[in-house]
Amino acid sequence: MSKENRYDVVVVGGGPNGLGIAAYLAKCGVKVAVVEARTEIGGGCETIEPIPGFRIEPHAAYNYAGASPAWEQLELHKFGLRMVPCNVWGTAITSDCKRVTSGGRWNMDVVRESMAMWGPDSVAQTEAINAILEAPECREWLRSIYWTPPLPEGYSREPQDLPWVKAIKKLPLLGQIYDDSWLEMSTWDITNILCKEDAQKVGICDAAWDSGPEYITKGLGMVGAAITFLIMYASGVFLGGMHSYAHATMRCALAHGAKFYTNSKVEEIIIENGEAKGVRLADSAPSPNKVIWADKAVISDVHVKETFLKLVPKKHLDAGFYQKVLDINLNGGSLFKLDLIVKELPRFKGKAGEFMDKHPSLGCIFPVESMEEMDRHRNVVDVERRFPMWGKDGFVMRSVRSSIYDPTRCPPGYHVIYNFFPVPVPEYFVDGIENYNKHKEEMVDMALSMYRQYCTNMGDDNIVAKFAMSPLDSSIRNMGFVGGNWEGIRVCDDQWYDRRPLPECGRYRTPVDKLYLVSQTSYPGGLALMAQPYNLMHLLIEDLNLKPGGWWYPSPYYVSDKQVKSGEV
Amino acid sequence: MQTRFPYRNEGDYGKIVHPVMPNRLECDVAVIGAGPNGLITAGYLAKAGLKVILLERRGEIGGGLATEEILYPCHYANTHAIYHLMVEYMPMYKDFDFKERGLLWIYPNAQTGMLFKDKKSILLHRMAEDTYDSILRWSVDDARTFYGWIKKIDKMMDEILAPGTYVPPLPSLDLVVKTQRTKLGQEFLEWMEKSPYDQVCETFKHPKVRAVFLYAACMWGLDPTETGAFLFPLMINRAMHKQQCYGGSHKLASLFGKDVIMNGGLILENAEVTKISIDGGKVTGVELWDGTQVKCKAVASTLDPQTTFIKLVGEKNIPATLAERCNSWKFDKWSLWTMHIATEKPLVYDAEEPGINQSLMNIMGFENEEDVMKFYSSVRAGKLEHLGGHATCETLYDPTLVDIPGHHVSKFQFPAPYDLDGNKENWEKRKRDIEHKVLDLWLSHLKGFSRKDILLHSSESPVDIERRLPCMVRGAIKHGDYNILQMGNNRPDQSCSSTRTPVAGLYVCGASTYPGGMVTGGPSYIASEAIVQDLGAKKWWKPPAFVTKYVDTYIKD
Repeated sequence: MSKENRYDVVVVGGGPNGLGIAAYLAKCGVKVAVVEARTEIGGGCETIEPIPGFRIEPHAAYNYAGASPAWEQLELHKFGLRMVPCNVWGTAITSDCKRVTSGGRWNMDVVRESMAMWGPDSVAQTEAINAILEAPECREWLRSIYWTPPLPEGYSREPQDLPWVKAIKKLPLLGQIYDDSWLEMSTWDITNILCKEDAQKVGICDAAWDSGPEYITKGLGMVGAAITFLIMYASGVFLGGMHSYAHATMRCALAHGAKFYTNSKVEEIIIENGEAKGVRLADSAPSPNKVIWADKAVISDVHVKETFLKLVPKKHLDAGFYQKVLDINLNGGSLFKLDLIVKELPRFKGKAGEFMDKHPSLGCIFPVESMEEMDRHRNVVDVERRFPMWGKDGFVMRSVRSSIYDPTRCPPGYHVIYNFFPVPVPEYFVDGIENYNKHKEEMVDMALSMYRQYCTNMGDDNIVAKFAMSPLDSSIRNMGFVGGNWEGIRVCDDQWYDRRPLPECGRYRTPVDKLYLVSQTSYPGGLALMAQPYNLMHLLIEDLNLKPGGWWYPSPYYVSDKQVKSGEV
Repeated sequence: MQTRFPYRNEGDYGKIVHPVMPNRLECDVAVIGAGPNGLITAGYLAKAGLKVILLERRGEIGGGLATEEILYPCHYANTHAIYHLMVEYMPMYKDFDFKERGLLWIYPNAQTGMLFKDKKSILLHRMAEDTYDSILRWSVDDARTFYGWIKKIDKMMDEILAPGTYVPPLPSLDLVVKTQRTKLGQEFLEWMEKSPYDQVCETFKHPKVRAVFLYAACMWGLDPTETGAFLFPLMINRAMHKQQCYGGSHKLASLFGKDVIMNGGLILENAEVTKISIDGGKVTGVELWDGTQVKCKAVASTLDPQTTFIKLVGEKNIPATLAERCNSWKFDKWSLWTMHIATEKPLVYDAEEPGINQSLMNIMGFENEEDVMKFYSSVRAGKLEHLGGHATCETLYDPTLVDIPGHHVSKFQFPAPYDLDGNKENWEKRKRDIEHKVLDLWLSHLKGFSRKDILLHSSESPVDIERRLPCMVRGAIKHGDYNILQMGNNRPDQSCSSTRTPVAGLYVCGASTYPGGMVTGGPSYIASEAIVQDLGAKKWWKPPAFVTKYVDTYIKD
């Protein structure tokens, strides 16, 4: 290692957003280093092979980012990115196993067949949702929400000035039924407008809860409903698993000259005269020189709590801000993960089973016919803060079965089933964090008994191996998952948009000069959308005076604070 | 019900959603397999300005350079290579600036211990005098013999074996004549006429001393009873010069991977090659499992000769003698069985010798050389009649392998046959039983350790190795047995041991090519030079001085 490690920009954390911003900056000619604590980059974009031949994904599994401008701008396809389109994206099953609702983009016949179980109205209404998805304006609507930096302070928040209101009005069907009251609604409220059947509403609300705002969250209804469109837009998984996405992004950064430090845990973000100057590495880092200097900026791709409670020395923060960081709520995204390796896919009972056997879907959730079941599940987790027990409490199981479409995941004759469900935040657990992992076995047993109730073939002879990971394990493995929250922090109105994670750093800038945030704890949350890097680029182009090439295009809805200050807008 | 759908790399998705990788690619050189040799070849070629595509079947590059979370969650282990044998000799060390780029090696003095039932031990060190002291506990004669013997071995290593690794092989007869040019060379040839067992027993008298050297000489695949084992001095020397890659062996793979990318290459995982296309006796490209076509001027295959020549190229495109050779190719006599465990405390051995707990490797299960012979003959016969093996606490020198500070990951390994008692299925059937027996042996040497101290465990048999890394056919970690008929100029065949093959534009540079496996970088170093020369690119590197000296002394006419 050279005597002095000096870069323009140091990115702390090599998760998808850290890799994304490094790729962007390197492509702009900025000298950038990514410093990653773990042995491998990728953060939540992981694919591992705990037993030979079988790949599991500890965290992320879906591609939500199909509409991202970053993919085009960074040309990830030139770095080997391949997708596996999934014919039937998801199926939701009722508790009596008599009916299903299916979703997907590539085979509408299957979707129609499932909706016909509910009646002609349901078919018609599903066709409408698909028409919205296929409209070219859909991508712009998604981009107006996710791939647009929050509006600056002082700019109008009137409905007609909001990006997503401007965009939704251009959409067929949705544009016609939209009115400004939607801005006050929850996901549940909006699904009541969009869907006829509870089963479908539960599907959309579940997607929102697992991947964004809780479905009861007032004011975030449009965001919650958009989650379903985000997933359906791409309707695919990464060939080989989620880690392929990280590889492509990392290699883009590398090819443009970014440097990577792995096994290098950052112990401190160095602040001098109120400015971020670099990072200090832990003793265990391989580099003999434990300081990496950043001449222009330090960008944190670690959790906001980790950033301000551990990496930035307390003396550089005011007490009011520090308290707000402490108070950031972690509810809503702590998922228990159970991977099952099976010889046969779960064979569901009844008519639902017949349908599933014919049209195996990537995703699968059950049971879905009533919102009450999901409400009870939510209340146990967020209010009572204990583990949900199927049979006693409400419980909705979610699963992803990528091996159906991607043959690289396991040998023929087997499947890998990725199951997950919300559980309490370890830090808020009613019996204390020290007792949290004692419930792992119990959760595994419960999940299996639930499968056995709904399926005919989930006995021990079909299950080759099982791997459980609790949110507490997640938080130990990965600094990005404080509280084991897969979205970083709660997606609620007070912690969303320019309030995410806090109003003081709602536009990626922070109270510390030259320190920026890029992790999923900033707007617009998790899902490996490559949104924070794209959004942050708008600000860095101004702050660092970057000159990206012709490949760069900003969000049409971006408003610079300079424009606001100068009275231009 | 149909539950698996075939995947094809097709462009429609890209038209509707976002651009994805096209199904037709072009490059100068397609390298098959991103194991150490594939990575090194691709690294040298990319830096020479050639456009390289490196194709890997798995989801991650590295091949045997694998550091994986097999004790999931939170505990990582080097699932394959961990004891790096040739680090200080590898020309890549300088050519790719290992040190400047933060690739760190732990090279402990305490290298290879052997533990006996009575808490006594022998410990081989990096520093010869420390080994001398340890042998002295058993036999004054053997200690003195060792001192002279090891100096000679070190010399053979420095002057003949190590440099020979990075130079194309000469025809056997020619090599013998030229090796005789020096006294050291003559002695080296004399040694070759003896089997490892004879070598060890003629040199040492004490059964314990014989045991440790015999196990160490043969653990990577030398047959103790076969003559012509010219790698014997290398194996002995390397038993005292192993290095561990900080951050995991995969770090070495990442370094070369970065070079490929930084020099304009493309690395594709999930890209199993199903065909090497030949037109008019010349390579034109390769085809991937998902229909992707790669057009190229040259192909470098790191796979075994059967796969490369028979499966991918096809018998009709190669000379009959080569086809016959490939079809009768012998994979390794034995593979490895490995168990990893996660614990909350480091392993502490109940041994009198203080250095044992710092040792990179500790061998157990043997009291004398006859035990070792019993072990190897049973393994060779496809049986597990004598249990013994070697253990390493991987986190002793590399705390980054665990996410929970203070936790430890250790492994126990032994040479093991692929077909256990005549059938590979027996590994799965006897999995629990073998794990129990291994733990009984291992725990018997540990202080204050019982089964309840083991948080997680995972074992992998030779069959599992093949499933994780299918290029290791029959669990063959070296892609082919180390016997005199498959070594030197014969590896894999006289027609292609120089890495050039009878098919124009096709090169072989994996562990089944001269000089063999074990992450030496030898085959890839030799292939890189050949390819750069044939394609008219610039050879940007210079051979290290010890290689030039060897060429001057032993190769030039």
